[in-house]
Amino acid sequence: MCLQLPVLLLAALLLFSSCNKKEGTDFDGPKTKVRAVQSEKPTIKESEQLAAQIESELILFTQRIVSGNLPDSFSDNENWSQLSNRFLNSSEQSRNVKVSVFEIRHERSTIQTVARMEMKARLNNQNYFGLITQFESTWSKNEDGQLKVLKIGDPEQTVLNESPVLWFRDETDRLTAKEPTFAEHLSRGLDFWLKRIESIHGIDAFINNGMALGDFDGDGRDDIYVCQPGGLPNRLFLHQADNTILEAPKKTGANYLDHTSAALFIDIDNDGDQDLTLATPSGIVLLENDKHQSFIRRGILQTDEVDCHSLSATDFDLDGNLDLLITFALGSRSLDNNSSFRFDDARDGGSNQLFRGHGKWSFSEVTALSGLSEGNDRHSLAASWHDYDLDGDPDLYIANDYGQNQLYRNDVRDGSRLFSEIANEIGIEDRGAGMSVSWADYNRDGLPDLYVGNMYSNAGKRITGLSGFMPKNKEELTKHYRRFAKGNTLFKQEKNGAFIDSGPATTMGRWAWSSVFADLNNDGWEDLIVANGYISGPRPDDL
Amino acid sequence: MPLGNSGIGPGLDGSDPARQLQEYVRRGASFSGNEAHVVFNNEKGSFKNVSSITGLDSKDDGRSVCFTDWDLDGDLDIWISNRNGPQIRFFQNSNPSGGHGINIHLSGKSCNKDAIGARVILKARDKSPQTRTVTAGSGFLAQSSKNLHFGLAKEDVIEEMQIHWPGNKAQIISNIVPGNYHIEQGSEPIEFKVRSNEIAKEPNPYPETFNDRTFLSQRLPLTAFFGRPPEAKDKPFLICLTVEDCQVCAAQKKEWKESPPAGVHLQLINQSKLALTDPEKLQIIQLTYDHFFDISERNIPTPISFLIDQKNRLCAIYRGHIDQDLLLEDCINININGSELRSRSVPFSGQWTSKQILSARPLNFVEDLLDAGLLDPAANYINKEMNSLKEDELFPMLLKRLEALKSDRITP
Repeated sequence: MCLQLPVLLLAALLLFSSCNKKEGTDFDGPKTKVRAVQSEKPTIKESEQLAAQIESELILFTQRIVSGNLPDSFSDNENWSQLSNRFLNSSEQSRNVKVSVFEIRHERSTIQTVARMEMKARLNNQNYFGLITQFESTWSKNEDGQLKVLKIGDPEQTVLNESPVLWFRDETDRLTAKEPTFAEHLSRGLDFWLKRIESIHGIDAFINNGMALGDFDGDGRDDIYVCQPGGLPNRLFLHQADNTILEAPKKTGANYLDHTSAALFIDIDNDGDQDLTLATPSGIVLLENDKHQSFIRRGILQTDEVDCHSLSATDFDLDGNLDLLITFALGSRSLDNNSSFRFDDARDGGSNQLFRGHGKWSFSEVTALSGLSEGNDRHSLAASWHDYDLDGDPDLYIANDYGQNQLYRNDVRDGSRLFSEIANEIGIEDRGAGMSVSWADYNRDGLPDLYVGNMYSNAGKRITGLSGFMPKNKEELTKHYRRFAKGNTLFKQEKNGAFIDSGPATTMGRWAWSSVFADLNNDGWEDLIVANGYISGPRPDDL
Repeated sequence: MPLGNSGIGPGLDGSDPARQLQEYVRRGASFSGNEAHVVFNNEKGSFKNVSSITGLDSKDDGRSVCFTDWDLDGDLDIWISNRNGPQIRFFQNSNPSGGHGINIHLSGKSCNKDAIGARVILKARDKSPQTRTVTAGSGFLAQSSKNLHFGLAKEDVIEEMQIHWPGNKAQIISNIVPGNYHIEQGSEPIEFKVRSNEIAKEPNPYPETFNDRTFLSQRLPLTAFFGRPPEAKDKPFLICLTVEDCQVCAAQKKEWKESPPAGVHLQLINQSKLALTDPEKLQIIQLTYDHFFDISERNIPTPISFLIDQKNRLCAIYRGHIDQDLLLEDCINININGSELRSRSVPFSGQWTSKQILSARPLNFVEDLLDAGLLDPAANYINKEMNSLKEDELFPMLLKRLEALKSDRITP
């Protein structure tokens, strides 16, 4: 088995805590050639150390750009001067910079990097201003290990934004102020509770819990159900007339303490109110909405696995009764003795399960019957139903961690519904660390398109981009590993039913959990939002 | 990507990357942390990163994203769930383009009532069509509103709307202007109205307050390390670890001096002194504290107190100042078990789907001691708790591990 990406990412993590930041580079200094140290090709660890050093140097450089204090050697450079001038009329405190080195190459005596620079500020005319650009830089290292900048290339692919208003206002405090349980419970994050609730209850440092919107009390306003890890109660908040939220009374019966990964408000019994379903390690909990007042538990659909993730509802057989799909990440199966876990193609995941609804709270498990057992051994974090081929029935896309994704086309064969897995056939297998699925016709050509969330990692890009990252005969694998750090994928559907990767413009979503379409600015075109951050711990060292 | 519990096998060098990563995170390191959310604006089919002007700057590790026009003002607002606190955030849309919006709530008759799977196509004059589909579950662990939202540029005039009900004929609707509508299958749109509902929506009359203590659902025997002081007789005893220069510690001590807690024997330990006189014991206390949780703290918070029952088992851990009434209550409840104990072991009330009753596994605690290289205390613990440990199927393995570690120690 080959080197694994996590090991490499970990190496990078280690050294971020150990590398000592050097004195600032003299960007103003004369460009004399320093005598470079000729060294062996650096190890991954050394390369990462250099990247960290260069990144901190470039932060200093970026700070000089936004503060208008351009190094002398750049004063004649129109591109950088123009960019710097954009920040002249901005308040000093509002300026914010972020620099990420995402490519590093080691030549005989120099180091080449490509970095992304993100800057924003509030202009004196009160407009919000942001700028993203990327540029190359060349460095050399002298005998004392001191880095010297040899060249900073021109800014490229610059993106400018300016707006008199921010698109969104954070109104969390106003909406939650009246509800005391919010301050006691949800204002505190997972790390707080991890130290206070025994892990045996079903809470761990890597756990994820979702959220659902739906109108529980029938007043026409969406209420909100917040899922929680084991040992903390899920919370149902009711949407008040003044748009604030208050928790539903205890007697409602929504405060489940089991780890709940996902929830759905759906009208299971087609009686006009919103029932609730929960994905838990005990199975899918079915709760009937009783007169908009409380929930009656109608049963639990037993599942074969416990590491539940997404829950989705559809009517795949168009019989008027809703069906439920639950996905699992880790599986309880053990791999054959001869095979081991493959980061790029893991086949030890839990089997997802499809439950067909028959009405009157009756369900039967139809995973195998419906053809969904094909390839049903991956770590499935997300799933979404959509009639992608516009033939009238919903098809299913599943995003898998550590491997390829799946599209199950819903076909009628011999009078029954059968799914066929065709992701490779139509080009949307998107082998990566899949975490999110969203469908929309973003280009308004009538054909559904697809956005898949995958992690983006600067460290991963740097390391997998190094020459010699893997032995020469492993080119195919190297490609896969690079893919794993690339980020999200936007697939555009063509008229012939095939999908094409629409390129790098929307890949850099960072860690990227929910990566979803929505028209955020009311112009009729569905935008993309990517929710971010994996784990922000109290210690600042990071990848 | 939940790397932590991925089950990733060993790396080439024999290391265990998943475990290493878990250890890093449990000790408080960040991993792709402090990242702002990213927004790409769709400009007629091509995308531009506009994150800097969206105001979505919260860096609390976002997970699920749900959309709804919460205030029914024609634009989509956002609820985001987070790993860090606050665990949910609400972002209200400022409608930056000033465009219109139309919200459609569908209700099926010959298809499922929620109309999940219904596809709605909206055609504005001289514009390409927009399509939305009713979905339940998308993105990552999220369900957005079932109301379909269409943004409309200011100049847009709607020509028609087609509703493709799942498994049914399409319905065409003309003469519709921006607004909020309810459409029942086969009927004309009616204006969507919010109603007052009958549930008494008042703040919960019994707001639950969080007490910073864990009443453990598992009872860990600790006779090996905390001998019962004779003065405790048949009462529970409380070990309280304090430090100097700690206001809470000083206040707590003063309070107990003036009014000693009833029904419990107090044993105060000065942490700084213990660090000098018996560092191994301090390490054991730290391990005991960390044993129950999936995250470790590098320094035990002080004051910290451990409530130990008549059978010398650990029952509760208190952080900071201890409320006298709570302590009394815990002493009274010290022998509860089953579902009563389970309910008391979590900070807030609620119900469980599973009937599983949890019990302590002292073997895991011995493993922790061995992991920390505390071989003699581990051997001591095994001797004292032989009877309960023997019942664990992994006990022979544990003994083997202990022997192996001991022989490693002898032959360096």
